[in-house]
Amino acid sequence: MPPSTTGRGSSSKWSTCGYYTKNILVFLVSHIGLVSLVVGYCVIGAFAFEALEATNELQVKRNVSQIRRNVTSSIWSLTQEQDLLHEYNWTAMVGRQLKEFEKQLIEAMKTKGWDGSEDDEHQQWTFAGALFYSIVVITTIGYGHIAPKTDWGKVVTMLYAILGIPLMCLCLSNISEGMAHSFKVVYWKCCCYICTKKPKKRRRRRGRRGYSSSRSIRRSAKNADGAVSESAFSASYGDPSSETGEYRLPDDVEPASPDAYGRAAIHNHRLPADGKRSAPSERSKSSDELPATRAEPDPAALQRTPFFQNRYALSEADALRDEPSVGSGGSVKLSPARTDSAYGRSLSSGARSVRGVPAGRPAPERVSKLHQTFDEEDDSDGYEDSDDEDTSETKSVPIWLCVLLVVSYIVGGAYLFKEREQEAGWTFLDSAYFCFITLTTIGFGDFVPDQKRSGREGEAIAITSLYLLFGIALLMMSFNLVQEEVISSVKSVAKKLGIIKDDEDEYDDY
Amino acid sequence: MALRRRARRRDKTSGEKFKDCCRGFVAFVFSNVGIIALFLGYAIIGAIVFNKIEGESEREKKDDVVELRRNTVRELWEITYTFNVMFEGNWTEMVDEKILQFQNSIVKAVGEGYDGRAEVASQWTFSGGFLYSLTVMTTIGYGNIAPRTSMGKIVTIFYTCIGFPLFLLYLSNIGSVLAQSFKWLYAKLCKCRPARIEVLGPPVPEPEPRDEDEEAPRWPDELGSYRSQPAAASSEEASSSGSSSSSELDLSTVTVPISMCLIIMAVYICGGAMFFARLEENWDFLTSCYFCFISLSTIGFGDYVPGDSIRSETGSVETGFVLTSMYLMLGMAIIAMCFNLMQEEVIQKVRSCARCLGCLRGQG
Repeated sequence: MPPSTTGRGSSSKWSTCGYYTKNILVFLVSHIGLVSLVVGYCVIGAFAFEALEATNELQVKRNVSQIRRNVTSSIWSLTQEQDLLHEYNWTAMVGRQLKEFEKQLIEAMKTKGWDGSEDDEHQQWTFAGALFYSIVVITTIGYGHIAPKTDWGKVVTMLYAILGIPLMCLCLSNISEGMAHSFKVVYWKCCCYICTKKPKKRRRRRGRRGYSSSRSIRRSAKNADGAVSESAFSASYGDPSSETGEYRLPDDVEPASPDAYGRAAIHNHRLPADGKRSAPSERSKSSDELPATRAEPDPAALQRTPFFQNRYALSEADALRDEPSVGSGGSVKLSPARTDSAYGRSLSSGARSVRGVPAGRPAPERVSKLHQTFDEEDDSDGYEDSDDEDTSETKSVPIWLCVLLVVSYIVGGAYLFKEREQEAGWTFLDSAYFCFITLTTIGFGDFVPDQKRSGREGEAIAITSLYLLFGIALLMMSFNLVQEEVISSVKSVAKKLGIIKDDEDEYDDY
Repeated sequence: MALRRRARRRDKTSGEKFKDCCRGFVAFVFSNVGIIALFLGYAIIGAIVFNKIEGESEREKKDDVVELRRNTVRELWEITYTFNVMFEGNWTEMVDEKILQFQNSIVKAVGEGYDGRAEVASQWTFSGGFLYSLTVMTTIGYGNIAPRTSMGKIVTIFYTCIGFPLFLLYLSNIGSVLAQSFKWLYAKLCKCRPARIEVLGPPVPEPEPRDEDEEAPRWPDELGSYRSQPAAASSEEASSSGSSSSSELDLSTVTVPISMCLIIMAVYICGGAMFFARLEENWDFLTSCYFCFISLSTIGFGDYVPGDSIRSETGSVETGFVLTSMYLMLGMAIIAMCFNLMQEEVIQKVRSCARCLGCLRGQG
């Protein structure tokens, strides 16, 4: 923990400085380190796959040339054999030859991975092509226009994917979390300019918010046991907070001392109330203001709480809340966007429901008691106060904004690829369809930016890769941002429908 | 308050009953069975819709290729006929050119979706459409069948927007249901082993006055049946228990080891590989394994799809696709279950690591 700055003079200032720089370095290293790890992994994959598959591809190309020449010579020899050229017979014969040839061509394309051109110059399995293939594998897009045909290629692909997919998930969730946080900050700053409320009022409101949060927790604790559908809803969109929690480990600042651990964690988790627990600012004060064991909280100390710990300590409380889930992990993919495999996200969300329903029953009572004592917490982080009228303290970016963002990204990509692929005859719809299919990681492979143009091959791959990686991160970010609001609105709808009963209804039945 | 409640009870009119019925129905729909049915129903709807949209254009494409072949043959005949004196060199050159043109046209046609089965049943049958819908919803996206019409593409986009969340819902539901059942099974199996019984037996008096705010680490023993709930009620329950109540109690704390989950997944993939290797004549075991893995990880290249071989000239396309669909649906559910089960242990392990790190750093 950074030493208290009260009355120590320059030495403490230095140490605080040192502490902050360490913070920043950790942050940078974790983000950049992760990204470079993924990049390095892709490059290694590129080398490996090129080595494994390039020679085979050349072989296939030569085979097709050979087959074609064979067809010609067989037609010739068939023609020569006949003394009299009868159109009908000859036509039938040649027709059969062509049909056989066609079959061989299609087999070469489908099972042997022939790309359709006999030109030795334009290979698919160049370094750039193999790099693109690696990216396509670990994002689970899986176009299929380029696929391993050798036995070793297949085995290496499987092993590569087993390691690469979680790694990519991790990296993308990290990036998307950072993006979501900055987006929220920017958004609320913009909103604050528009709104004219003064900071002082905000502080008082924060205090009151503590009450509402504790109330809502108590309510959620009661509701938790009742609704099956609640788990379904929260599960499907639930943030695999644990998953991202693990991932956030490198981001940890020095954790609070163990005695206040649980409290710090729980409290941290509650008050910021929106998904972005990862933000250092959000991990605020609360943790240090908690128990009497702590000294007067200073801003520096606030940053040190291990939000990582937040997630796990509150994992049960999480699942039981019927608030918009605080899971910010951001690794849950928006439905259109399949960024990393659906599994990691959906399954961890499934796990949340499992945890929520049977386990962790003591948590909500603890949490609610805890919060009663901390009603007057000063949540001094300026960002976190939503000036809106939400009953929940989560500040959520409106859904329409996120949807707009995603749609505009897809449309932008559509224009980009339409321009680039004009020769290949891509219409605007084709490009938009390609963008959508790629970003959701469905990845049919019927449309892929052409890599056959010599000299521009690397360019096509680079642009496509950057577009899809950034796009998937963007989709994860927007999913992250909207999930809270979606869950809360779905829950309110469900309440209206009566799937989830209110307390009053429950009492009425007895 | 009580008066209000009594008043409400008397007010249950038929309208209220109807509302209750509706609620019950909607609740059922969103329950486990309902989700599965919804998921299947959505895939079936997709199959029918895509069949309608794409079936027509596919037939046109096939006709095009047949036409292409006939034209090429006719042209070749023209060449042969024109060159009355057969100079091999010239003739070969011209025929070569024509054949190359034919080749390029075929390549283009394949790029547009032609699959080589001109005279046989089309791809966009009901089962083909069902597999397609499934691959779209799960984002596997094989690509061996893909929409070619504009309408098909637009419908695919909207279909995915709804289908993917539905798939996630299905996964989470099934995953949790299967995980619960598996845990129960696992707990029962482990109970049978005599050495473990004492762990599950009389309740250990919990150190109740543990500070409530502190989340005590749950260090599961090998069985994972460590009871983390300090509530007195539950321990009393356990003490009076027969096997049933303690098993109920333990279910929430049973942690299935990661190795078991990994084994389950590996077994499912290998089992599927053996099955498909037998089904498809030119697939060896490695290829089948590769297919199973690529499908279940939702990468979905589409280079290998059972039932999609051009050699299968008969109607066996149907069975191949149907079996693949079933394999995928079950496989996704099992993997969801495994992830679900693994997650808890992974979390606990990471938590303990973090605590160690925390302890180490906290003293700084």
